[in-house]
Amino acid sequence: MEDFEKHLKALMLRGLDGDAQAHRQCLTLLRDRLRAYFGRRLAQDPEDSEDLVQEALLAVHARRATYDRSLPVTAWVYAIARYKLIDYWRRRKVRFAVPLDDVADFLAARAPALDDGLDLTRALQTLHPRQRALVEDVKIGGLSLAEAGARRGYSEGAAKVALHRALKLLSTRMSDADG
Amino acid sequence: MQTDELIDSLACDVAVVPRAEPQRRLALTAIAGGLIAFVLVAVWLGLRPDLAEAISGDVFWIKAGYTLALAGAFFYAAERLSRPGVAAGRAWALALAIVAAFAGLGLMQWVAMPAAHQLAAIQGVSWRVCTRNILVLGAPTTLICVMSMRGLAPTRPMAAGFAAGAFSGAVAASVYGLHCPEAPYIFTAIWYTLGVGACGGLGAILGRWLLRW
Repeated sequence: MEDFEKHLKALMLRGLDGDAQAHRQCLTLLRDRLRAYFGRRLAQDPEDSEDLVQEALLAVHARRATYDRSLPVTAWVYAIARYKLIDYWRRRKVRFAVPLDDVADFLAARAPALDDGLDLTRALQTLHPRQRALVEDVKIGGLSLAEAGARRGYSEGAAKVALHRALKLLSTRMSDADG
Repeated sequence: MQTDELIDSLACDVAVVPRAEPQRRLALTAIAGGLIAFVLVAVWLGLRPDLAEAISGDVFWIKAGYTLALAGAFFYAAERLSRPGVAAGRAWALALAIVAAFAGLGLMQWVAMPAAHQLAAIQGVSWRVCTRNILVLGAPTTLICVMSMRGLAPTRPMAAGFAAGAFSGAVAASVYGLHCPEAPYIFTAIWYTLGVGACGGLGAILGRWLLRW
């Protein structure tokens, strides 16, 4: 577990300094941990579970400026995951005591669930078609962003700005949809 | 959309992330809030006529020291509470210690007064409006502060809102000292603290409503 924290933190810090590859690896590692965390707690609802994984990843990305670099990154992600979980139950009017010591569960990787996120797909539909297409087209690497941008009539710089705005909007739309 | 596709998109949205984002937002709020409070004092309440004299004395600075120290403690609390999974216990304890210390000072000064003056020390000339004035001076800043926290990640919206409000109130109370002529520390300890608390309460209500993400 300590190795995982060290590894994840190193990736996270590089991502915070602008390293896209490191950020991607960080999010991928988190995807697995989040699937284990939500999957176990939402065993009856694998679709909702994957939605929460995506919501949590989006929150980790959009609010990564709130990570305190002197503290463990796993604790920070865990707090985000727990917040999303409690919110999910609150929306469904379930009254539950959420134990604070289940962080060990969160740190243990397990099997993945369904890949599709319905909430995210729905939120994507609310974007302007050109924005939506950019988000869907884009893959890793500056070259691909340039290509995706060119396809939709953006310069690379404009594509970067447009993507950032689209993701920000997505993040807001998903929170708003939750009420 | 597939999770891996989402990750691909997010990985393209990478820029250098500033280190102290919550602190930066709070500091900007303090500057904006200080200016707003100053304008309100200047055009609505009026600067105290003996300001030049007051600034050369001790009482003015001890009062300012109290409200600025409170602002510092609530800045610390708000910064901690904007980050998921970070405890704010020490910040609250600090704020409480500052309140207790200044209340102690006020009390010591008060018991040493002749009994005939003690009620006047508590009421002064402005006890009826002091707390209200600080709330009015601090309310716009409270709203600005809570709004600026929306981009952060408070996992305790009401507590974060309270900290934001109390921070704003303490900044406002510091500026209010440019108007308020009262000298006994017990006056400040009671009415200013209530004013800061009222802004905190406003922040908590706003936080509950505005700080979900």
